Amino acid sequence: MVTDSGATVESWLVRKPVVFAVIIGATGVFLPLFTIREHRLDGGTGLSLLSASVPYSVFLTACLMVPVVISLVRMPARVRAGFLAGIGSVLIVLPWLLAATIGSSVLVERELGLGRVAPAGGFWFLILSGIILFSEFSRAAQGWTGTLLVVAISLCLFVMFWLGLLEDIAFIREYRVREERFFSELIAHLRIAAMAVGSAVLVGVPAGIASYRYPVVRKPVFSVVSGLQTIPSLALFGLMIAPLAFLSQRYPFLRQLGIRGIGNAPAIIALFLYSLLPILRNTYTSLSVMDPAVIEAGKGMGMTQKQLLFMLEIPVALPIILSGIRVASVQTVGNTTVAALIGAGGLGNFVFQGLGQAAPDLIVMGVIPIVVLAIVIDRVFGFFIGRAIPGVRTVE
Amino acid sequence: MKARSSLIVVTFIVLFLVFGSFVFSVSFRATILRVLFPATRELIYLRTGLPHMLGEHLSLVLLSSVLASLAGFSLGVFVTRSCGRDFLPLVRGLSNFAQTFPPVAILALAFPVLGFGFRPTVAALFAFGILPVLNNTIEGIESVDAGLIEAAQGQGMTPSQVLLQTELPLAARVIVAGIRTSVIINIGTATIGATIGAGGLGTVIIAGLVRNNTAFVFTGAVTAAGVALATDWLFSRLEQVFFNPQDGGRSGHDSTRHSS
Repeated sequence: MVTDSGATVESWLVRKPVVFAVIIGATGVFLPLFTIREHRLDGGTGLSLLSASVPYSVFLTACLMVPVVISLVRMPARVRAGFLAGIGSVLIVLPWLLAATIGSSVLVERELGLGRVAPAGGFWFLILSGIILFSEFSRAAQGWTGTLLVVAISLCLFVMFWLGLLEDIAFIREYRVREERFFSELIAHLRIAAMAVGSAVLVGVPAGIASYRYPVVRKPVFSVVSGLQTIPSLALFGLMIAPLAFLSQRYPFLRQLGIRGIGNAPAIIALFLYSLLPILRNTYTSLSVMDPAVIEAGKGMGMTQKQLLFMLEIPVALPIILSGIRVASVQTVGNTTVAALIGAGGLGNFVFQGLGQAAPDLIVMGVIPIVVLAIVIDRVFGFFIGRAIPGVRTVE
Repeated sequence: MKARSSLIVVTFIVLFLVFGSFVFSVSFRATILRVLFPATRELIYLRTGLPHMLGEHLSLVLLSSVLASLAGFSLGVFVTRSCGRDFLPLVRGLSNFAQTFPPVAILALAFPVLGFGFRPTVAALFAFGILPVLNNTIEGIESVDAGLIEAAQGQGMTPSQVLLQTELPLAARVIVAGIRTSVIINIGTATIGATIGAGGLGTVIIAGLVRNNTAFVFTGAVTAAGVALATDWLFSRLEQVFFNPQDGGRSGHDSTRHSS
């Protein structure tokens, strides 16, 4: 890409998003980077990077100027992309280290042993500008470089956490206090979500195949399942309570199985009902979009109905069905949070406990793993769906 | 066929009347709840009336959805114009990325940033509600045949005429489907808004959960479910009337993903 003014400027680099990212990053230097809280319920006082540390402000501002400067200098596109990725990564990683170290020294200075450092607007603005620069780089980069860098950045953050550099960050404090419970709730969260999605696959896929084979059942099945999806999650959880309480009172063996009005049973059933629609719909779609010529070819080769289904239709349909399971899984991991309100376990317990105690750091501590889980599950499915598409091996 | 459709109409009217009486008549509600929950002593939540909570709920959703639809639509149009096209990959990428966030996470984060109450909840519903509208606006406009746009330009239409007379009418169906998804998600998330003090129908559900009163939970849950189903049905009628009379009104309705 060469602009009219000369061959030195490559248009993807002076693109407006880069300028936008630089403006956001510069704003982040002036906004409060973190707030110092005396205790967990304290509103706290904000401190911007500029007022906390002039050298680091100068350094970050210089970093932010790099994307602008390199667009004016002649260099190969690969080198430019490298610069962009480097600056993006610095802007994502550095705020953590700065908030932790500068924050800790402020705590020592003010003699607040039990104080904590809560990331504030400036922190998130710097990271956002890093993410924008990074995604501009990913557009230009080929193949695995982007993924590798994401892994490197995550590893970097994890090492910082592991070395204990982030201990004074408020939500890490909250985590340390309940480390053991964190893992048990995390596992409970995953178990509830997995059971719900797993059973939805077991029911949804056959139901989708049935709606395709027998058009009579299609309409009633689809309207019931999509109606269920429309009902608010908290309402659906609530509607499970009364009938389950009744059943468990009536039939003692259900009570022995641990089925009660509140707890895991109503949560898993409601989440299962929620997961049905994406799986059912994608199974149905995958079968109905199939090229009739392929089926004809199969029939011509003398395949039986069963062979057609298992050797032709399902392999072709798999990527579409997998995307249905992907949507269902991401959605269920989110909705499992809400299940904490009806006494099911999971990370939602931290979130709603935090809301109940008006403790913002506890909320953030609960929300971060939920969001990370949703993103990781989405990406893992994306990877496998890319692999499952026949004949295509390098799908982003 | 005719007899069947009039039967459906009658069923709808009956359902509507029952639902209306349940919400607005305390004695009717008490009668129903007494049958369903004979063991429960306190059947009616007295602190706030159900119609009032319904009103709060609808205003939460209406306010946030109108604002979110306007913002999502404008942003979607902006990134598909020549002046904003540079932002298209970025906005599309970030919006897809942000849609993996659970709505309840956004709602919970509204408290540390904005505090308790009605306004933080509207802000959270607004923030998440933008995404489906934005995605569908982009998708709808991008899927308009490039040949049609060229033909329109060839006729001497100005860019704004191309937008208003060619692109938007062709994209309208997909955009409305995005608004539908956004509204349904907001009705669901607004229910959880009760945990950050927004009021609405979640209030009575939460109160029931805290006090172990199944009648309260049922009251709120049925009303919230009714509101969501009725709204979804209204949208499907709207789509049927405006876009495709032959169609069941369901196609083009992208999943109510993450309904919460």
